[in-house]
Amino acid sequence: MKTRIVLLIGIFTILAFIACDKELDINKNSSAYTYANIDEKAGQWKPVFLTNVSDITVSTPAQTNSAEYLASLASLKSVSSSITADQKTAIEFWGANSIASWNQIARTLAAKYNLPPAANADGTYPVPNAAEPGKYPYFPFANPPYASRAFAYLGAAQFDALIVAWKYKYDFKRPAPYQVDNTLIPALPKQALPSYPSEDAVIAEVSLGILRVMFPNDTTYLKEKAAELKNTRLWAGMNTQDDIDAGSAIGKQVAAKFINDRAKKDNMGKAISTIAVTDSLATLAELKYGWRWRSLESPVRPGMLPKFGDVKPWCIPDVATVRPGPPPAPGTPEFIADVNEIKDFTANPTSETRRIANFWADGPSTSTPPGHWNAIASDLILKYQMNPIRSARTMAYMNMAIQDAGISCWDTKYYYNGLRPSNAISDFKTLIGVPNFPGYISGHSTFSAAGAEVLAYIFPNEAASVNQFAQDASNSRIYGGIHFRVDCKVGLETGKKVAEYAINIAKADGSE
Amino acid sequence: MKQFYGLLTVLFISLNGLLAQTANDAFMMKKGEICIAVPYQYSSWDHYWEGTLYRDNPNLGTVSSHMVAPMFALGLHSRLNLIAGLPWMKTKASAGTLRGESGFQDLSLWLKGKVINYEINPKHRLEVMASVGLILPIGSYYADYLPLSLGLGCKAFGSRLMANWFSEFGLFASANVGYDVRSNVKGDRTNYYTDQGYETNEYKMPNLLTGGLTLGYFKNTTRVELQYNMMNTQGGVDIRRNDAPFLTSNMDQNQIGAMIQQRMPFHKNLGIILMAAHTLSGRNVGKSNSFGIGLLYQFKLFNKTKSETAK
Repeated sequence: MKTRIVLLIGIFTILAFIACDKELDINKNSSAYTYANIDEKAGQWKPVFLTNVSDITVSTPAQTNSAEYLASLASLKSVSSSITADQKTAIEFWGANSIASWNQIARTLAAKYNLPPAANADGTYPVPNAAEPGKYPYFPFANPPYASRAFAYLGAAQFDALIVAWKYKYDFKRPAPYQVDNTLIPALPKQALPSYPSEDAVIAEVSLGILRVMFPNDTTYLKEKAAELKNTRLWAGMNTQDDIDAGSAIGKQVAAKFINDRAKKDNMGKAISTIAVTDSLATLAELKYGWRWRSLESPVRPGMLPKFGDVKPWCIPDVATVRPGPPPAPGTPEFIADVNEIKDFTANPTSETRRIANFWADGPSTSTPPGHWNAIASDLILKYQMNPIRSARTMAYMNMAIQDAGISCWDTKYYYNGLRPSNAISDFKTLIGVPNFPGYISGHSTFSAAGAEVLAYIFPNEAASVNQFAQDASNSRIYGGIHFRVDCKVGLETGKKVAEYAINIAKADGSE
Repeated sequence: MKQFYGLLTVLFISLNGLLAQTANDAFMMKKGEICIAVPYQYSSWDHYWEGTLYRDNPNLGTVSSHMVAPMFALGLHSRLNLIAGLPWMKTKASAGTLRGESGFQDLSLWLKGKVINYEINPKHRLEVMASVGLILPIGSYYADYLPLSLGLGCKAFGSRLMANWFSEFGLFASANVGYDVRSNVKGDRTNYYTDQGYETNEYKMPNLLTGGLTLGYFKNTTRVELQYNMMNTQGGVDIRRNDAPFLTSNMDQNQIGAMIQQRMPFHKNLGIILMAAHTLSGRNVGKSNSFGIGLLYQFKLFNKTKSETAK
């Protein structure tokens, strides 16, 4: 008996160890690579916002045979010859593609701030205040439209700043330190790019300059990350200090232009609003169409960003041009068909519909639907070993299209005040949380079609896969019970239409 | 007899061992005895702790669960019992739009052994028992759906140690401590933020420490217990302000409860069980109250041998 007990305990212990490997693989650093292409002519590409690349200036670099340069090269050799384990970890984090690394930081911040404020005791809701970002309710509430804007500014500013960097790289044609001195062995793959100004320093400062405005409560952290990226270029033996200083100067100037000349004037500050505004928009729609969306939350929460449709778009001429017609009215055969379909999906979910509903839920404490598409795009720029400026171009056009999709979608939402299934069907139950804004048209469908359309243009071999993602993301809202079919179908159509404007600009930017 | 592990889920939580014979109570069955029990339990809460903040949530209202938890126990030997259970549950929120869930939850399999049996004197006896068990989420429930999911979706390896004192008058006292090693859970999200950002669909589940004290009376056909039970996840994260509970939340709970088990005078194989439990305090769990009623049937499958007749 005793031996049997010992045996059984032994078996259980082994099983316990099987269950025990618990460390999460959350730092999936990609291996650094040699860029597929270095785009020598990218300094002549058309920026998305800067009107004149030469407005951004850097000083002329020292010659590589000057005493000044040789001293800084000697210093670089010394720094890069003895790196610590922590420095190596940082080099690995940033080394493959710092556009992808910054995008990951932005996604994490979006997820961190993607929580709706809790109600006050009197049933009202507090509004986050940018002047006091660390005081509850923390600023920002990074909901999907807010996140779309943050990603768009990040991508667009990175892209324009790198066009400036590329211009000066080929104006000055300074060889990389490891080309000047072949005894210097860098810790990252050698690239054929001129090294002055450092593209990574440009990316560090421009990303910091945008993200500290979008996520002001994390400015200290962002500064640390920007400094770390710049330092990894020294630790890895990739850039001299003056390469980095010149890149920093470009990044700072470009970020300041985007923030001062665009972000501060794009109407985002007026997008958030009160119950009174939400109600007046609903009343207008009710007079015109006979229905109105109502918040399902208790206490009643003002609709999310009722004036986001007034925010300045990047590529579409205006929201009216792309605004779809009204949804079918309650009681019509089309409406009843949609009601029956969604009742069936929510009453009889399969493991597959449920998986899709949750995979694409992208709700609170996640990086939002735009963040999900940024993760997809980051994987693709790494898969295709894009150089930094191609990567930034991908992120810029995808995210401008996604923000324009959000602007168009939010305009449509409050223009028609379309019902959610939970507004229209009594005792209707959902499998994911119901977002607090009108149904028609589906945000995720609009964002996703726009994202997929731009990615399919940039990565034609991935077209089938990204279009399927968009279709799944759209369907997920029906499976989860939060959108009627028409919301999703018209959302996909609108997103696609919006993205065409971005793609047409991209096609004419000189990069093809 | 029933492993209440299942209810640890959900902010609802109910602690181990309030009904009949369990992996961490003071009792064992004799060789060849079988006990089958079917307890029903209702559990509900309308306030919960979001981290340490005690709050209600008008978008959930009252969250409730009905549970039928059939269990089976077998005396492999007078000092070794096998206990198995598989609860069926149904959950509901009285407000908001989220759909309740129903289905089978976690299969639990325990081996419980008596390690020490020491007679202090003819009137008092001390025992030490140990249990090891596996909890396996075999029901196809959707775990990443707190607070309405049926369970946490993780596999676990459980261990319990009990020290019991019995007097000849029927009074007894028991103290238990336990530790569950839990596996990580994979969900369908691609990223989430709790204490930091995670870009993975895997959730790191904290292990669980449990403990309890029981004061009871057991003589002839009647068993009455007053219990204090606690559980404390080893690590885990607080629910952020106004966020939903998450599988990796740091769930702590202190609960008191009472249980009565009465064998029927007309048919001693048959018994009825009544229980109630009340949550005193907690963290990232609901302040639940639970009530249960159940039937049990105990019988001998084969005869005990002479050497094992001694208590």
